[in-house]
Parts: sequence; C-alpha cells; structure tokens
Amino acid sequence: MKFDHSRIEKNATLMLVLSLLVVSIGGIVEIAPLFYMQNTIEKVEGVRPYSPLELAGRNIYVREGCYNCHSQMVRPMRDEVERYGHYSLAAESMYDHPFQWGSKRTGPDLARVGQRYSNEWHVQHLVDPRSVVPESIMPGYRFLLSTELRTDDIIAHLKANASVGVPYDAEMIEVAEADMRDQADPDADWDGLLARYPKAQTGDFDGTPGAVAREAGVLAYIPGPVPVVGLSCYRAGKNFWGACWITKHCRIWPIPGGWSFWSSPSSGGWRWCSVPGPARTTRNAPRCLSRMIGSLANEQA
Amino acid sequence: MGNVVLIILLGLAAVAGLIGAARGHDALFQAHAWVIVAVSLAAIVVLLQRLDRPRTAEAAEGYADGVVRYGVLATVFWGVVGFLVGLVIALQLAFPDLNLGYSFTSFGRLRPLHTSAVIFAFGGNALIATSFYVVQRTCRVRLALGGLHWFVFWGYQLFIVLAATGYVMGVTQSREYAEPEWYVDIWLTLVWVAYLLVFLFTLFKRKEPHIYVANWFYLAFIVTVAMLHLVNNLAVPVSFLGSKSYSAFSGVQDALTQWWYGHNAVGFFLTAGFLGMMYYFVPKQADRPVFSYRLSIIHFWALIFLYIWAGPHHLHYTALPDWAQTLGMVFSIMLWMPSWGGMINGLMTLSGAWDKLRTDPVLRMMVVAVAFYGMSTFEGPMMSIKAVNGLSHYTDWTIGHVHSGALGWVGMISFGAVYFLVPKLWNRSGLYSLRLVSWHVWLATIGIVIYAAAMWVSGITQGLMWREYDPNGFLVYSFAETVSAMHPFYIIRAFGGLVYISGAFLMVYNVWRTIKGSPETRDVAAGAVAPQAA
Amino acid sequence: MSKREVDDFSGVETTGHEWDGIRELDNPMPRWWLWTFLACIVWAFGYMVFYPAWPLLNEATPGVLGYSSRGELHQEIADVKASRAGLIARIENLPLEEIRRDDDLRQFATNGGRAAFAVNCIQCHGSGAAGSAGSHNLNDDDWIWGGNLEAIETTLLHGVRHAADDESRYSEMPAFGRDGILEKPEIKAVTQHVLSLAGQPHEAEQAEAGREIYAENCAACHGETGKGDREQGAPNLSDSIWLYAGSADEIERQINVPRHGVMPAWGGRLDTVTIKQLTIYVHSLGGGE
Repeated sequence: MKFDHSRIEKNATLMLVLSLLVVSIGGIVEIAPLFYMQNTIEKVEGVRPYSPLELAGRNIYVREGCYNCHSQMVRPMRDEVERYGHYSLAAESMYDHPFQWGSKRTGPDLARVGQRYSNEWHVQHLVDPRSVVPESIMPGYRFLLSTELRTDDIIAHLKANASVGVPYDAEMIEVAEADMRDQADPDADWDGLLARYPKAQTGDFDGTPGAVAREAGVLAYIPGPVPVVGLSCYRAGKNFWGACWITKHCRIWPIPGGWSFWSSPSSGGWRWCSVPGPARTTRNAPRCLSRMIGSLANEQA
Repeated sequence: MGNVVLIILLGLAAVAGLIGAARGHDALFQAHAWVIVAVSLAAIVVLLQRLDRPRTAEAAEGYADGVVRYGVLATVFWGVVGFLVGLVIALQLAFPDLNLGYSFTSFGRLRPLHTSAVIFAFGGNALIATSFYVVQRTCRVRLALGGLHWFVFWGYQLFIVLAATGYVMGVTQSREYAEPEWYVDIWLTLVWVAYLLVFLFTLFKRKEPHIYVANWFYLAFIVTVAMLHLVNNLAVPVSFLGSKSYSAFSGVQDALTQWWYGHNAVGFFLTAGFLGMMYYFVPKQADRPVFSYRLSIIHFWALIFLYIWAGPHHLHYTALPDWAQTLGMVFSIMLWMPSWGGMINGLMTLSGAWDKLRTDPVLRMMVVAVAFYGMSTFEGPMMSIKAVNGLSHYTDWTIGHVHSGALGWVGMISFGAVYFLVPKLWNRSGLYSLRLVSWHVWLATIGIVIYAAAMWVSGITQGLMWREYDPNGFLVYSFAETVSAMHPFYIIRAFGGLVYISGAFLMVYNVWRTIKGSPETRDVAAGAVAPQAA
Repeated sequence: MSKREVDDFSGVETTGHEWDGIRELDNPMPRWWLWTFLACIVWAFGYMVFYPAWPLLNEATPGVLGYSSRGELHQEIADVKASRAGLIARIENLPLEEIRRDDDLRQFATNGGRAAFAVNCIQCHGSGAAGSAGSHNLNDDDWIWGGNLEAIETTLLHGVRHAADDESRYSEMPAFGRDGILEKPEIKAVTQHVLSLAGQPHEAEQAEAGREIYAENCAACHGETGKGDREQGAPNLSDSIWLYAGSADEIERQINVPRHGVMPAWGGRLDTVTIKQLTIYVHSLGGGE
C-alpha cells in the first residue's frame, strides 16, 4: 500500500478518533446551517404556540403513535396540494417538539385536516372508524372516550416547552389550567383565551356533557398546524346548541336566520312565532331570549 | 466481594425504584419504577444464591464466552418476539378488527414495539454477542474490564424491557426508532458507554498487532451510535419523576436531526455493525481468506464518511430546504459503491469455496444474506433519487425496502452467526440438524421474496393511485379507495412474514436441540475456550 | 509475525496477517467497482453544481438551474391552470343551470366535482355517495334542504349547523323525551304514527293514538302528512328514507334525544369553481331535482 493504513490499524485510539471525526462531518455540515440560516424557516403570519388544550391533544397524538400511519407534511406536488391543501411550510411546525412529519401514509396526511370535519365526525371516526369510512383500516380508539383528560400538570408541560424555546409567556403559563378547561367548555368566556391563542377552536369537542374533557374530544380536534397560508378556518362546534331552551311550556330553538319561539299557554295548543336575529353563540342567548319575550308580550298585547 | 458490592448497588436501585413508584408524576412512570424494583430484587435474589458458590474457572481466565452464550439466546428470543409482533401488526393492517380496541394492542403502539424489538433487541443482541465473541478471537485476549460485559448485557436487556413496556403503555417520544423516553435513553447511554469501554479496552490489550477489519466496523458502529443517540434524544422532561419529555429541537431542525439519526441507525446499527459480523463469520465459515484488504480499507472509510450525509433523503420534498435534500440525495448515490464493497468482499471471499454452498446450508444462509445486502443497498440509493422518492415515499415500497434489508441482510447474517456460534459456545461437534438449517434458508428466502414483492406492488400501486388523473386533469381516487386497494397485498405480505417466522421457529428448535445435546453432537471440542487456542 | 503467503486457489498474495485463522488477500479493488464509484462521485458533484446544494453563511448555493421544488410545483400548477383557463372561466361566470345544459361544461364540471368529492366528501358521504349514519345519501330523491342546483350549492357553501357561518342551514328538533316534553307512551305512540306515515308496518292502534300527538308536536315542521319542510330542514317522514335508521327503535331514539349532524361550510375552503363543480356532480348523482 502506498499510504500506510497500518498505523491506524495498529492504534485503537487513533481508529476511534478518526472514525468519530469522519462520521461527525456530514451531520455538522447538514444540520448546523438549519439553525443559523435565516431563510430555513420562512416568516408566516398567524403561527403561534399551541394552546394548552391543543398541546394536550398533541400529546395524545404522540402517545398513541399516530405518526406510524399519518404524515403531517404536504409535499409540494400537484396531487398533494389538490388532495390536502397548500404544501407544508417549515414555520408551521416550528413549535412542534418533537416534529411529527411522519414517514408513512397508511392513512392520509393530517397537516390540514384540522377543522375539515365536524367534531361529531371526528369522535365517531375515532371510536369506530369503519362506521363512517368503510374502507378504513384504522384502529378504533374507543378507550379515549372513557379516559379523562389530565389537566393538573399542564403548567409543567408549558414550562418544559418554554425551556426548549416555545414562546409561552408568564401569563400563558399561569392561566394554562383555566385556559385548558375553558377551551373545552361551551359556556366559558373565551376572550382571554382567544387573545392568547388567536383562532383557537372552542366548544364541547367530545359530545359528552359536563366540563370534563374526554381524550377523544381533544384528539378529535387534531389541532394540527395553526391555520396559515390562506386556509380559512371555521368553528365547527356545537357550542351554539347550548342556547336551546326547552321546558314544558316554552321552547326556543334556532331556525334559519333567527330563533323560533314557541309557547304553550294553559289553554292548550302550541303557538309560535319566529324572531330573526343573529344569536349564534351561547353568550348571546340571554339577550336574544329577552328580545323574544318582549316580542311575545307585544303580540299578546 | 464484587457480588456484595453489586447487591448493595442493586439494593439502592430498588430503593430508588420505590421512591419513583411512590412519588412518580404519572402512572406510567410509576409502572416503570415498579419494573426497576422488581428487576433489582430479582437480581439480588440471584446474586445471593451465588454468594456461597465458588467462581467457575471461566470467570477468571479464558475467553469470556458466558456473555456470548446469553447474547445468542437473547438474540434468538427477541428475534422471535420481534417477528411475531411484526406478523400481528401485518395482520392488523389486513384485518383492522385485530386491533381489538385496547390501547395496548393498537397498531400505533405495537409498531414501535416491532421495529425496536427487531432492530435493537434482536439486532442489538446479535451485535453485542458477536462483537464480544469476535473481538476476543481476533485480538486473542479475554474481554477487558472484568465483569463489565455482564453489565452491558443485562443493562441492555433492561433497556429493552423498559422500552417495550413503555411502548405498549404509551411512553414514547414518537421519534421513529428513537421512541424510548428520556430516562430510558439515559440508561441506554450508560450501557452503551460501558459497551464502548469494554470493546475499546479489549482492543487495547490485544495480542495481534493489527486490528481486524471486523473490529473497525464494530468500533465505528458503537461510537457512531453513541453520537447519534446522544444528539437525537436531547430533551427536557416535564418532571424528573415523570415519563414525558419535550425534544430540544423542533420542526425542521428536529426533523433532520431525527433522520440523521434514523438513517444512520440503519447505516451504523444495521449496516456497519453487521458488516463487522460478516467480516468474521463469512471467512470463518467458508474457510477462505477475505477477498481484498485494500477494498476493505476504502469501502470502510468511504462508507462511514458518506453514510452520515444520507439522512435528508428521508425528507425529500418536505419543508426541509432544497439544498439539504440535494446533499442527501447525491451522498446516497455516492454511497452505493462503498456499500457494495462489503458485498464484494463477502461474496468474493467465497471464490474457491463456492462448492461449499452445496453442502453447507449455514454458509448458504450467509451468502443469501450478503445477496440481500447488495440488493437493498442498490435499492436504497435508487429510492433516494428525488424523482423515485416522490413516488415511493409514504408508501409500502419503503416498508418493503426496509424488510429486504432487515429480514434478508440483518436477519439472515445473524441466523448464520447463530448457527456458527451455538455448537462452538456449547461445545458441540455440530448443529443438531443441517437439514433444518437448509429448510430455514429456503423459508426465510421465500418469505422475504413474497414480502418484498407484495410491498413493491402495493407501494407502487398506491403511489400511482394517489396521483392518477382523469383526462380533464382531476384526481381519480379518494384516499380511502387506495387503502382498500392495498388489502390483498397486506394479506400476501402477512403470509410472507408467516413463512419467514416459520423458518425462525425451526432455528429455535435446532438451537435448542443442539444445546440440549444428543449422542452425536455432545463431543466436546476441547480447548475451545482458551485464548491461546488460536 | 507478518509473513505474506500466496493463496493456493487464487494465486494472490495475502497481507501476511492472520486473526483466528482468517487471512486477507491483497487483491486490488475491482476496476469496475472503482470506476463506478468515481462515476458516482463525478455525477454527484455535477449535480451539486446544477442544483441548490452547499450551505454557506446566509444561504445555500442556488445551483445554476435555479431549481426549487416549490418553483417546480408552481410552474406545473400554472400550466394546468392555463390549459383549463377557458373552461374554468365559463364555469365561474355561467349560472349553474347553463353549465348543466352544456355538454362539455357538464362533463368537465362533473369530473372535477367527482375529484373534489373523492377528496373532501367521502369521509362522511361514502365512496359511493350512499351516506353513512347521519350523513345524507346523495343518490336518492330525498333532500332535507332541497335538491335543485341552487339548494345544493347553498348547502355546500354554508354547510349545515356550521356555527361559524351565519348563513349555515340550521334546524334542530327538540329532545322530546330527554327534556320531558312527551311521556314515554306518547313517544311510543307517535313513533308508530310516523311509521304509518311512511307506509311501513306499524301497530294501527298505537299509530292512531299518536295522531294527535303528532299534530300538536311534529306537524308544524314535518307537515300534517309527514312530507317535511325544506324551509326548516325538517326531513320528509313519508318516503321511508331515513337519515339514521327506520326501525321503531331508531325512530323512538331520534324523538327521544335527536342526533344532529354537522356539515362544514366549504365556501371558504374550496374555491367557487370547485363548489360549482361539486354542485353539478352531486346533482348528477341521481337525486337531482
């Protein structure tokens, strides 16, 4: 041999050091620039840390190993953007510890599935996938419906995220537990929550009564990347239906374009009138109700 | 004396476990703490029984083959476990009702159990056992650092048990092939450092002037895996008595770190390590010199240098910047020939001994393994080409590729090593039955071919269906329709897996009968344990 | 120690070392191997000149081709758009009825609608659009909110019970059982009456008893004869087509605590042309009015 490899062969330390040196280069050249090059992560409006409830949902996604079958990475290919929506950007997963881009699509990509279907559909689909999609080979996750979501340690979770660089501020951490409960409570006041986590979805996700969120509901939300790149978001929730008021003698419920008010005076027989108006959220219900009572009084007068 | 210290340490571990069980942040961590308590107590009981027993001769001198014997048994055991879980999840994909509706039997939790059982439990034990065997023979010394190799072995088994029980309970980082949580990772780090030290110090005190090529590969495998493991698993735990952690990196940086790790788990765990295995067992079994020393040098350094760069090809067309994708692709292409260097050295070593393939099924097993190695190290660079990857990625093609490497190369070279080792380690004149080995070769080969073919067809079919356009340029298939199109292939794949496993069961039987011994095989090959016997 | 020997079989020298009986031949590297390796390296470096490759301080080398995977996609999509521009513009501008009358447009819109349906709708409505429990069968003649082109388009645009869309279609049947509006026997009776309206087997006596309860509680929305009311989204009860199921038990369940499906509004999510194509496609499924 022209070069003398036997020097290395005769010296275990040299061999060790050289091997380590040789295997370090590739990683350093490829990974380090991702941290310092500014254009690695493009600036995108609307990217924010996960709300506490979203984080909890994401942790269930991680725990159940959803990445084994689902990607969260729409590739810039024509069929993918037509099937799933805009291709994924690096910024969308910048608060994902760990990333969940996935490597296999036994099931479809989930990067943009958030808000695509109703909460009822997601719960039904998680509990019994084949009842809604007969071709599906996804496991059923009925057990999520009977598992109560743990809320008491969410502050520690936010702190851990903050320590690896997610910009949770002191206030977010302090009120995390309340935020978590409020987001799943159709009757809560969401103003603070929505200021901290713009466009967060709120409501009763799991379809079970009571303030305790079931894990299925949280996962059903599949927070996924925050809506960006012109994705319209919508509120699929049944929070609205909490406003329905039904008693033995008096019922109101929504109809297209307003409310329908029915009353059953003691004389028997239902009389009804409908009152137009917005009233699409729970908080508007009392206002709406008083208006309708007023209109009924007018009618009787 | 040493045992007394050990018992004290284990007692402390048991107490620590009890504290963890009592104060644990979550039920999963508490469950793992109980595992620690149980394992520590069991180990104490075993050690107490041994306290009054005189140490065996082997403990003091001669090759440390006890740990290799345990390692071989662990390899066979975890291999069967890993294959069986694989069969179960293959059937779950064909018949989803087999998920049973329990959390711990759902695909998402069992699939990491399968991959880790096969890669780390089966493959890892095979690597540890054979590296301990090979380094002693090729250095002509006993393993260094006293009984530390036993810590490596049992510590590694504990790692496997913690990882596996964690997966089914839901303790996971959801990082592919790096699923174990932070505390299991720390434990593995300790074990791995001990492994590196045992291996390195054995090299230090070798009686051969040169380090044999097999040990180059083993050493590179051990040190690189340490590096990968440490960097990829950097994380901050939610609680130091809790099971959940958040990774240090996020998004795109995390993705490349993970696939830098993930790809080189293949590159160094499943390729470099097993090349080390091949460089010893193939020339031994063929009784022929290694084909080319110069090729060994070039392909070794080229392989370990280039492999590290190939990670980004797992992230083609993702949000990873294009430049990194390019590097991942071109380095994968450059990696092709260095990978084949191992195949050439393996196959050409047989020149002058090809006739032995007719009579020696163990050698046949190894040669088929090397052939599959060549096949999958060609397929790999091909799939790293962006145009090909655009079709193959996210589909079963990748699964088929991994399995032709894992079942074909890793599995069969390990089986070959097991068949080589068992008679020597238990002082038998030969295996119980060479006919069973021959059957095993056939079943394994046919199983892989069925498996890989099914995955090729299903992967390419699904990839094409996803992008099938009608004459107006509109997508033709819903995702659900592409899923139902996979059904027949999933059944065929499961059948291929079944064939492969049936071969593994023949091995279990053969190994068991060989160890148990029979009149024909019980002749002791005297002196096989002495370091000077070489 | 190191004694180079000649291997009997190949006639090649060994390197002179031996480990546990293993020796090494001093064969040169196979030429084809070396050349292929070199060719791969040359190709790789060539490729790296043409494509973005090496990270520098602020950005990576862009490559002389100016390639980016996203740029490639944008080009492809622009090409597709350009090739269809005429048809797309006509669909965008023409009313639905005219699109349906024009053979070319209808064909094009139906294909586009089928694709959009496969991607977005089958999760609830099924691959064959036959629906699943709570999701409408789109192949039959029963429409809760109307089955002509305009009605279908409105439903697509605004969804059903989709809270974020003010124009979403809303209806909600009271939970007659849960909320104590009707007693259990009354619900049983009205269930039988509903079965009689549908012309299904029923207990005549019970059905008769349920007639008055139906008139008082149900007729306002579902109509005296159960024909339903599309204005209010009250399903037709007389056609034996059921959203959930048509057994007495299921009907009773629905009266007791009704289930209400939600369809998302696709207006903001899909562009207007795609919505129109979906409308044409859904209308063509067999139940269009």
